Amino acid sequence: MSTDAAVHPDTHIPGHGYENLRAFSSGKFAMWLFLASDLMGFMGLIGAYMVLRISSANWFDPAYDPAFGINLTAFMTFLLIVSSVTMVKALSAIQRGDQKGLTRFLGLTILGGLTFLSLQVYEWQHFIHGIHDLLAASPLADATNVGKTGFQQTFFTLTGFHGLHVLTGVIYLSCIWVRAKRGGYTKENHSPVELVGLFWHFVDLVWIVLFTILYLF
Amino acid sequence: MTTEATPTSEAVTPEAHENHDKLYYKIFAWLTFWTLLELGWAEWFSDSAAVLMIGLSCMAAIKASMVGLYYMHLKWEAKPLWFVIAFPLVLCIIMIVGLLPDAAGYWR
Repeated sequence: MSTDAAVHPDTHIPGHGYENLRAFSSGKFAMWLFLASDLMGFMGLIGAYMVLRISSANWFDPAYDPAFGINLTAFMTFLLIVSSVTMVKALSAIQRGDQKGLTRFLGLTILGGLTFLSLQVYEWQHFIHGIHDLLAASPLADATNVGKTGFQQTFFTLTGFHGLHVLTGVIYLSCIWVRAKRGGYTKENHSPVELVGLFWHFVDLVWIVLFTILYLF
Repeated sequence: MTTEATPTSEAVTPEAHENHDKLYYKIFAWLTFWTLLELGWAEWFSDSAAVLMIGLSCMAAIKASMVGLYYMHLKWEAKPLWFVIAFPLVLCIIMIVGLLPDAAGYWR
Protein backbone atom coordinates (compact mmCIF):
# COMPACT_ATOMS: atom_id res chain seq x y z
CA MET A 1 0.00 0.00 0.00
CA SER A 2 1.40 3.35 -0.97
CA THR A 3 0.35 6.96 -0.77
CA ASP A 4 0.16 9.66 -3.44
CA ALA A 5 2.93 11.51 -1.66
CA ALA A 6 5.10 8.41 -1.87
CA VAL A 7 4.46 8.13 -5.62
CA HIS A 8 5.25 11.79 -6.25
CA PRO A 9 7.62 12.78 -3.41
CA ASP A 10 8.72 16.01 -5.11
CA THR A 11 5.18 17.28 -5.38
CA HIS A 12 4.41 17.16 -1.69
CA ILE A 13 3.93 20.65 -0.25
CA PRO A 14 2.73 20.11 3.32
CA GLY A 15 -0.40 21.99 4.11
CA HIS A 16 -1.04 23.24 0.58
CA GLY A 17 -2.97 20.28 -0.78
CA TYR A 18 -1.48 20.61 -4.28
CA GLU A 19 0.07 17.12 -4.22
CA ASN A 20 -1.85 15.87 -7.26
CA LEU A 21 -1.70 18.99 -9.41
CA ARG A 22 1.72 18.15 -10.83
CA ALA A 23 0.74 14.58 -11.59
CA PHE A 24 -0.19 15.68 -15.12
CA SER A 25 1.46 18.11 -17.53
CA SER A 26 0.16 21.56 -18.41
CA GLY A 27 -0.23 20.37 -22.01
CA LYS A 28 -2.51 17.56 -20.93
CA PHE A 29 -4.47 19.93 -18.69
CA ALA A 30 -4.91 22.36 -21.62
CA MET A 31 -6.01 19.55 -23.96
CA TRP A 32 -8.61 18.36 -21.44
CA LEU A 33 -9.86 21.95 -21.03
CA PHE A 34 -10.20 22.22 -24.82
CA LEU A 35 -12.00 18.87 -25.03
CA ALA A 36 -14.33 19.93 -22.22
CA SER A 37 -15.28 23.12 -24.09
CA ASP A 38 -15.61 21.19 -27.35
CA LEU A 39 -17.88 18.70 -25.60
CA MET A 40 -20.16 21.57 -24.58
CA GLY A 41 -20.25 22.73 -28.22
CA PHE A 42 -21.34 19.26 -29.35
CA MET A 43 -23.89 19.06 -26.53
CA GLY A 44 -25.38 22.39 -27.68
CA LEU A 45 -25.90 20.93 -31.16
CA ILE A 46 -27.25 17.66 -29.75
CA GLY A 47 -29.64 19.65 -27.52
CA ALA A 48 -30.87 21.59 -30.56
CA TYR A 49 -31.32 18.27 -32.38
CA MET A 50 -33.41 16.92 -29.49
CA VAL A 51 -35.73 19.93 -29.41
CA LEU A 52 -36.11 20.06 -33.22
CA ARG A 53 -36.81 16.35 -33.40
CA ILE A 54 -39.36 16.32 -30.60
CA SER A 55 -41.13 19.44 -31.86
CA SER A 56 -41.38 18.16 -35.43
CA ALA A 57 -44.68 16.51 -36.31
CA ASN A 58 -43.16 14.71 -39.28
CA TRP A 59 -39.48 14.37 -38.50
CA PHE A 60 -38.47 12.06 -41.31
CA ASP A 61 -40.42 12.99 -44.44
CA PRO A 62 -40.16 10.25 -47.10
CA ALA A 63 -41.02 12.88 -49.75
CA TYR A 64 -37.75 14.72 -49.07
CA ASP A 65 -35.56 12.44 -46.94
CA PRO A 66 -34.13 9.38 -48.67
CA ALA A 67 -33.69 6.27 -46.55
CA PHE A 68 -30.11 5.16 -46.06
CA GLY A 69 -28.66 1.86 -44.96
CA ILE A 70 -27.18 1.41 -41.53
CA ASN A 71 -24.46 -1.03 -42.64
CA LEU A 72 -22.15 1.65 -43.99
CA THR A 73 -22.32 3.81 -40.86
CA ALA A 74 -21.96 0.72 -38.63
CA PHE A 75 -18.75 -0.02 -40.55
CA MET A 76 -17.64 3.62 -40.10
CA THR A 77 -18.21 3.26 -36.35
CA PHE A 78 -16.17 0.07 -36.31
CA LEU A 79 -13.44 1.85 -38.27
CA LEU A 80 -13.16 4.65 -35.68
CA ILE A 81 -13.04 2.10 -32.86
CA VAL A 82 -10.20 0.27 -34.67
CA SER A 83 -8.39 3.59 -35.18
CA SER A 84 -8.67 4.24 -31.43
CA VAL A 85 -6.94 0.90 -30.81
CA THR A 86 -4.13 1.75 -33.25
CA MET A 87 -3.78 5.11 -31.49
CA VAL A 88 -3.33 3.58 -28.03
CA LYS A 89 -0.93 1.08 -29.58
CA ALA A 90 1.09 3.99 -31.02
CA LEU A 91 1.35 5.57 -27.57
CA SER A 92 2.14 2.22 -26.00
CA ALA A 93 4.92 1.70 -28.59
CA ILE A 94 6.71 4.98 -27.88
CA GLN A 95 6.36 4.42 -24.14
CA ARG A 96 8.49 1.31 -24.74
CA GLY A 97 10.85 3.39 -26.90
CA ASP A 98 9.70 1.63 -30.10
CA GLN A 99 9.88 4.42 -32.71
CA LYS A 100 9.06 2.13 -35.65
CA GLY A 101 5.97 0.90 -33.85
CA LEU A 102 4.94 4.51 -33.22
CA THR A 103 5.14 5.52 -36.90
CA ARG A 104 3.44 2.29 -38.02
CA PHE A 105 0.49 2.64 -35.66
CA LEU A 106 0.20 6.39 -36.22
CA GLY A 107 0.11 5.69 -39.97
CA LEU A 108 -2.66 3.13 -39.48
CA THR A 109 -4.63 5.65 -37.39
CA ILE A 110 -4.30 8.27 -40.14
CA LEU A 111 -5.42 5.68 -42.70
CA GLY A 112 -8.47 4.88 -40.54
CA GLY A 113 -9.34 8.58 -40.31
CA LEU A 114 -8.94 9.12 -44.06
CA THR A 115 -11.11 6.09 -44.84
CA PHE A 116 -13.76 7.38 -42.43
CA LEU A 117 -13.73 10.78 -44.16
CA SER A 118 -13.95 9.20 -47.62
CA LEU A 119 -16.93 7.13 -46.54
CA GLN A 120 -18.58 10.22 -45.07
CA VAL A 121 -18.14 12.09 -48.36
CA TYR A 122 -19.64 9.07 -50.17
CA GLU A 123 -22.57 9.01 -47.71
CA TRP A 124 -23.23 12.75 -48.13
CA GLN A 125 -23.10 12.44 -51.94
CA HIS A 126 -25.45 9.45 -51.82
CA PHE A 127 -27.82 11.33 -49.53
CA ILE A 128 -27.83 14.55 -51.60
CA HIS A 129 -28.40 12.60 -54.84
CA GLY A 130 -31.20 10.68 -53.07
CA ILE A 131 -32.91 13.96 -52.17
CA HIS A 132 -32.77 15.13 -55.79
CA ASP A 133 -34.00 11.76 -57.07
CA LEU A 134 -36.98 11.94 -54.71
CA LEU A 135 -37.80 15.43 -55.94
CA ALA A 136 -37.57 14.35 -59.58
CA ALA A 137 -39.85 11.38 -58.93
CA SER A 138 -42.51 13.31 -57.02
CA PRO A 139 -44.29 16.21 -58.74
CA LEU A 140 -45.88 17.12 -55.38
CA ALA A 141 -42.55 17.66 -53.65
CA ASP A 142 -41.59 21.31 -53.26
CA ALA A 143 -38.03 21.95 -54.42
CA THR A 144 -37.72 24.95 -52.10
CA ASN A 145 -37.93 22.54 -49.17
CA VAL A 146 -34.65 20.82 -50.01
CA GLY A 147 -32.36 21.01 -47.02
CA LYS A 148 -35.09 22.52 -44.88
CA THR A 149 -36.50 19.45 -43.14
CA GLY A 150 -35.37 19.05 -39.54
CA PHE A 151 -33.72 15.74 -40.28
CA GLN A 152 -31.60 17.12 -43.14
CA GLN A 153 -30.54 20.22 -41.21
CA THR A 154 -29.45 18.34 -38.12
CA PHE A 155 -27.94 15.44 -40.06
CA PHE A 156 -25.65 17.65 -42.13
CA THR A 157 -24.81 19.97 -39.22
CA LEU A 158 -23.93 17.23 -36.74
CA THR A 159 -22.09 14.92 -39.14
CA GLY A 160 -20.42 17.94 -40.78
CA PHE A 161 -19.18 19.33 -37.46
CA HIS A 162 -17.90 15.90 -36.47
CA GLY A 163 -16.34 15.42 -39.91
CA LEU A 164 -14.42 18.66 -39.43
CA HIS A 165 -13.07 17.24 -36.18
CA VAL A 166 -11.98 14.06 -37.97
CA LEU A 167 -10.26 16.16 -40.65
CA THR A 168 -8.53 18.24 -37.93
CA GLY A 169 -7.51 15.01 -36.20
CA VAL A 170 -6.03 13.59 -39.42
CA ILE A 171 -4.02 16.79 -40.02
CA TYR A 172 -2.89 16.84 -36.37
CA LEU A 173 -1.92 13.14 -36.54
CA SER A 174 -0.05 13.73 -39.81
CA CYS A 175 2.06 16.49 -38.19
CA ILE A 176 2.89 14.15 -35.30
CA TRP A 177 3.65 11.32 -37.77
CA VAL A 178 6.11 13.50 -39.73
CA ARG A 179 7.98 14.37 -36.53
CA ALA A 180 7.85 10.74 -35.39
CA LYS A 181 9.32 9.65 -38.72
CA ARG A 182 12.27 11.99 -38.04
CA GLY A 183 12.79 10.39 -34.65
CA GLY A 184 11.37 13.38 -32.76
CA TYR A 185 9.86 11.30 -29.97
CA THR A 186 11.54 9.11 -27.42
CA LYS A 187 10.57 6.96 -24.47
CA GLU A 188 11.17 9.96 -22.20
CA ASN A 189 9.70 12.67 -24.44
CA HIS A 190 6.42 11.76 -26.13
CA SER A 191 3.87 14.12 -24.62
CA PRO A 192 2.53 15.34 -28.05
CA VAL A 193 1.69 11.73 -28.98
CA GLU A 194 -0.39 11.43 -25.82
CA LEU A 195 -2.16 14.74 -26.55
CA VAL A 196 -3.05 13.86 -30.15
CA GLY A 197 -4.32 10.54 -28.81
CA LEU A 198 -6.66 12.34 -26.41
CA PHE A 199 -8.07 14.40 -29.29
CA TRP A 200 -8.50 11.34 -31.50
CA HIS A 201 -10.27 9.29 -28.81
CA PHE A 202 -12.57 12.27 -28.17
CA VAL A 203 -13.52 12.24 -31.87
CA ASP A 204 -14.28 8.51 -31.54
CA LEU A 205 -16.27 9.08 -28.33
CA VAL A 206 -18.43 11.79 -29.93
CA TRP A 207 -19.12 9.56 -32.96
CA ILE A 208 -20.33 6.78 -30.65
CA VAL A 209 -23.00 9.18 -29.36
CA LEU A 210 -23.83 10.65 -32.80
CA PHE A 211 -24.14 7.20 -34.37
CA THR A 212 -26.70 6.25 -31.74
CA ILE A 213 -28.86 9.37 -31.86
CA LEU A 214 -28.68 10.06 -35.62
CA TYR A 215 -28.80 6.59 -37.11
CA LEU A 216 -30.37 4.27 -34.54
CA PHE A 217 -33.09 6.34 -32.78
CA MET B 1 -4.89 5.26 -0.46
CA THR B 2 -3.68 2.82 -3.07
CA THR B 3 -2.32 3.74 -6.47
CA GLU B 4 -2.09 1.78 -9.72
CA ALA B 5 0.64 1.95 -12.35
CA THR B 6 -0.56 4.32 -15.05
CA PRO B 7 -0.04 3.61 -18.74
CA THR B 8 1.10 7.22 -19.13
CA SER B 9 3.74 7.02 -16.43
CA GLU B 10 7.35 6.98 -17.55
CA ALA B 11 8.18 4.38 -14.92
CA VAL B 12 5.89 1.70 -16.36
CA THR B 13 7.55 -1.68 -16.82
CA PRO B 14 7.44 -3.66 -20.12
CA GLU B 15 5.21 -6.23 -18.39
CA ALA B 16 2.75 -3.48 -17.43
CA HIS B 17 2.70 -2.28 -21.05
CA GLU B 18 1.96 -5.82 -22.22
CA ASN B 19 -0.89 -6.02 -19.73
CA HIS B 20 -2.30 -2.71 -20.96
CA ASP B 21 -2.06 -3.89 -24.57
CA LYS B 22 -4.17 -6.89 -23.59
CA LEU B 23 -6.61 -4.56 -21.87
CA TYR B 24 -6.85 -2.36 -24.98
CA TYR B 25 -7.80 -5.40 -27.11
CA LYS B 26 -10.29 -6.50 -24.48
CA ILE B 27 -11.92 -3.04 -24.56
CA PHE B 28 -11.95 -3.19 -28.37
CA ALA B 29 -13.80 -6.53 -28.20
CA TRP B 30 -16.33 -5.04 -25.76
CA LEU B 31 -16.84 -1.95 -27.93
CA THR B 32 -17.48 -4.18 -30.95
CA PHE B 33 -19.88 -6.30 -28.91
CA TRP B 34 -21.85 -3.24 -27.71
CA THR B 35 -21.99 -1.83 -31.26
CA LEU B 36 -23.41 -5.10 -32.60
CA LEU B 37 -25.88 -5.24 -29.71
CA GLU B 38 -26.95 -1.66 -30.50
CA LEU B 39 -27.66 -2.64 -34.11
CA GLY B 40 -29.68 -5.65 -32.95
CA TRP B 41 -31.50 -3.57 -30.33
CA ALA B 42 -32.45 -0.95 -32.93
CA GLU B 43 -33.84 -3.75 -35.12
CA TRP B 44 -35.70 -5.65 -32.37
CA PHE B 45 -37.27 -2.67 -30.58
CA SER B 46 -37.94 -0.38 -33.52
CA ASP B 47 -41.66 -0.32 -32.60
CA SER B 48 -41.14 0.56 -28.94
CA ALA B 49 -39.70 4.10 -28.73
CA ALA B 50 -39.11 4.13 -24.96
CA VAL B 51 -37.31 0.76 -24.83
CA LEU B 52 -35.32 1.73 -27.93
CA MET B 53 -34.19 5.09 -26.54
CA ILE B 54 -33.40 3.90 -23.01
CA GLY B 55 -31.52 0.81 -24.23
CA LEU B 56 -29.52 2.66 -26.87
CA SER B 57 -28.72 5.57 -24.53
CA CYS B 58 -27.38 3.16 -21.90
CA MET B 59 -25.27 1.29 -24.45
CA ALA B 60 -23.88 4.53 -25.92
CA ALA B 61 -23.03 5.72 -22.38
CA ILE B 62 -21.23 2.44 -21.62
CA LYS B 63 -19.22 2.65 -24.87
CA ALA B 64 -18.33 6.31 -24.34
CA SER B 65 -17.25 5.56 -20.74
CA MET B 66 -15.04 2.70 -21.93
CA VAL B 67 -13.27 4.97 -24.43
CA GLY B 68 -12.88 7.73 -21.82
CA LEU B 69 -11.72 5.50 -18.98
CA TYR B 70 -9.40 3.12 -20.81
CA TYR B 71 -8.31 4.69 -24.12
CA MET B 72 -8.13 8.26 -22.77
CA HIS B 73 -6.61 6.83 -19.57
CA LEU B 74 -8.99 8.65 -17.24
CA LYS B 75 -9.04 5.58 -15.03
CA TRP B 76 -5.42 6.22 -14.15
CA GLU B 77 -5.39 10.01 -14.14
CA ALA B 78 -4.96 12.22 -11.10
CA LYS B 79 -8.22 13.15 -9.45
CA PRO B 80 -8.00 16.96 -10.07
CA LEU B 81 -8.27 16.25 -13.80
CA TRP B 82 -11.61 14.60 -13.17
CA PHE B 83 -13.02 17.97 -12.07
CA VAL B 84 -12.09 19.48 -15.45
CA ILE B 85 -14.24 16.80 -17.10
CA ALA B 86 -16.97 16.66 -14.46
CA PHE B 87 -17.75 20.39 -14.71
CA PRO B 88 -18.88 20.45 -18.39
CA LEU B 89 -20.63 17.11 -17.91
CA VAL B 90 -22.70 18.64 -15.10
CA LEU B 91 -23.46 21.64 -17.34
CA CYS B 92 -24.53 19.29 -20.14
CA ILE B 93 -26.84 17.40 -17.78
CA ILE B 94 -28.34 20.70 -16.61
CA MET B 95 -28.93 21.66 -20.26
CA ILE B 96 -30.63 18.34 -21.07
CA VAL B 97 -32.78 18.57 -17.91
CA GLY B 98 -33.59 22.17 -18.85
CA LEU B 99 -34.80 21.02 -22.27
CA LEU B 100 -37.08 18.33 -20.82
CA PRO B 101 -40.01 20.72 -20.17
CA ASP B 102 -39.93 21.62 -23.89
CA ALA B 103 -40.07 17.94 -24.76
CA ALA B 104 -42.88 17.31 -22.27
CA GLY B 105 -44.82 20.26 -23.74
CA TYR B 106 -44.63 18.85 -27.26
CA TRP B 107 -45.55 15.31 -26.14
CA ARG B 108 -48.69 16.62 -24.43
